[in-house]
Amino acid sequence: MTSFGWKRKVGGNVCKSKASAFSSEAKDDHDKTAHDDIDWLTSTPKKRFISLEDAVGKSDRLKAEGAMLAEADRYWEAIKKWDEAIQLTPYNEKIFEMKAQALMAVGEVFPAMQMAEKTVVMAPTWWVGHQTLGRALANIGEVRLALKSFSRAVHLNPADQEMWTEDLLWTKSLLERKKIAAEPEQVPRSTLTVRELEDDCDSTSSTSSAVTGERSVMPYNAGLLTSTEKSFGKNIKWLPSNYIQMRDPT
Amino acid sequence: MTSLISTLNLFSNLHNNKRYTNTTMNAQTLVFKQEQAHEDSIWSCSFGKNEHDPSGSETIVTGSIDDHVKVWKWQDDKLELKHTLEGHQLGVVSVDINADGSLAASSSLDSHVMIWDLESGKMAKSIDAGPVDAWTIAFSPDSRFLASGSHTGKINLFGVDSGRKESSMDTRGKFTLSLAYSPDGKFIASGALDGIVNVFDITTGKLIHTLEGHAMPIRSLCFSPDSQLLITASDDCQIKIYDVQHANLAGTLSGHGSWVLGVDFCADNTHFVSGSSDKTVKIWNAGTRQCIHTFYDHTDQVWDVKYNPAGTKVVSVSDDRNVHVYDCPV
Repeated sequence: MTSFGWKRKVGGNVCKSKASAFSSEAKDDHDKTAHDDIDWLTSTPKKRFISLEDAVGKSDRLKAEGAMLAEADRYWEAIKKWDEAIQLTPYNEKIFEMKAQALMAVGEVFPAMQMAEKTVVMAPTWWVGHQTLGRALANIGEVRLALKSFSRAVHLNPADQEMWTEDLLWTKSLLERKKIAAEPEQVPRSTLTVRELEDDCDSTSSTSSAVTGERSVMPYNAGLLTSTEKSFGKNIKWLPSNYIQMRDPT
Repeated sequence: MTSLISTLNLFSNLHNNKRYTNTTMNAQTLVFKQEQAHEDSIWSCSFGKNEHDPSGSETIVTGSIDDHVKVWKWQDDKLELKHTLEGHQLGVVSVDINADGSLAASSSLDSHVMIWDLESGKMAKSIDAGPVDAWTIAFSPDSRFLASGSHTGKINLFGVDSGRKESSMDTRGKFTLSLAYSPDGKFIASGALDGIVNVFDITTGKLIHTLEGHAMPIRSLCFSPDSQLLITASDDCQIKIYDVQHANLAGTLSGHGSWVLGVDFCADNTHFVSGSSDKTVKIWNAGTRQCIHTFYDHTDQVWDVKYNPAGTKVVSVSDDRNVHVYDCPV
């Protein structure tokens, strides 16, 4: 029985690497069947079940795999998994939020902030998204905006004690210290040290970045930051490898 | 279904005298829009009388994440900024105006409660409530006390004149997100983060009812002007109406597509207003439990809604930084 319906757009839910692998195989099959009388490929009814349900299921699986990789500190692999998951379910804010955390862990601070912003737009009442956005903003030196994001997160969920002390009050103390540091000397370009906050699920090593007016100094893991290098261009100055990172005394 | 009908009956009995008054009314309109009222999201508002002003103006107070509290004068269908009150260090979570419109109180994320003189715009009192010991605040109907919820579930009563903690009531529950005095001054109701509503008798300080209607945070609640009904708004997108005397659930109202963040009762004892994360403001009839009108004017979450004391106007504030005033004739 043939049923009437709009032609499905093929490939909408398929990632490119997999699709190309399949199409190369498919060509081989075609050559074989060309010799037979019956064209099995075209006469088989098209399978109809690969739709919403499957995309969601697969996305969930990829998300879980990514989370496991991230727990094992394999952030880039995790990000790849989540990218695939995002292709399948483009409106799952949880995946964006995890990706933002992973990007922060590998030092891609600006893309992390963009991801976190997407999370917040998608789920404005989900405080975890606001918290992650706050951390991402703190990482790029936007302490004031970070404070706003943490305020929103706390306002949405005031029960989270850690969010109060670790994020909100800590960021506030940073701003106060900046004010105190800036006042006596009247230096227009004040230096502000930002400690990256530890994520709750991934235990990232604490890194620090200092923002000095126009030039930003940031730590990096060798080899991981090729794309940031491009995007930040001249403004970036690598820390020497013997640089010892210290936590702020609070 | 039968229980639903019986509660409905109970409900209409309570409101028999008001049932037919508003059947033809449907003239809700947005009358004023203050764009960019604050620099950032506005979280709270209050609408009060101004008995000291002979011209009969009303006062609107708004609190925002930008740390400022603004006092607006509402007169001739216009908002006019009177004072910008500075002093809070973090976002202003809650504001309230006392009964005669002489004082305003505000609380912020850094747990400071401030009392302001509305005429002069000066700070009258500052109360440091200690870490996370102040969230929603509410003046008592006689303006002598200021009640505040806290992290541990306690409700603290601060003396307005003394600026000190006078007494406290323990809900033994989670974080008290919302709080309301009954207009007759007998009860105080609190809504917690875990969805439990507690009603206290103020004279004895005893917990008289515990209502477990919602499973999610209750961000706002309010009594009806006759103190017979209690309305709760929750993150589960629902609004519930309780009969205060018997702690019966009198109705559950659905209609919002996201968290319900604010509710307030109209002075006519029949209508109430709600604001939600779905960006809408809804006017409800508590007697028929129908939504009468929905305003779609905000472009972001509506954090707080309030009726004016006469019950003719509604003010709403939102994440989109705007303050809207609606005409809702009784």
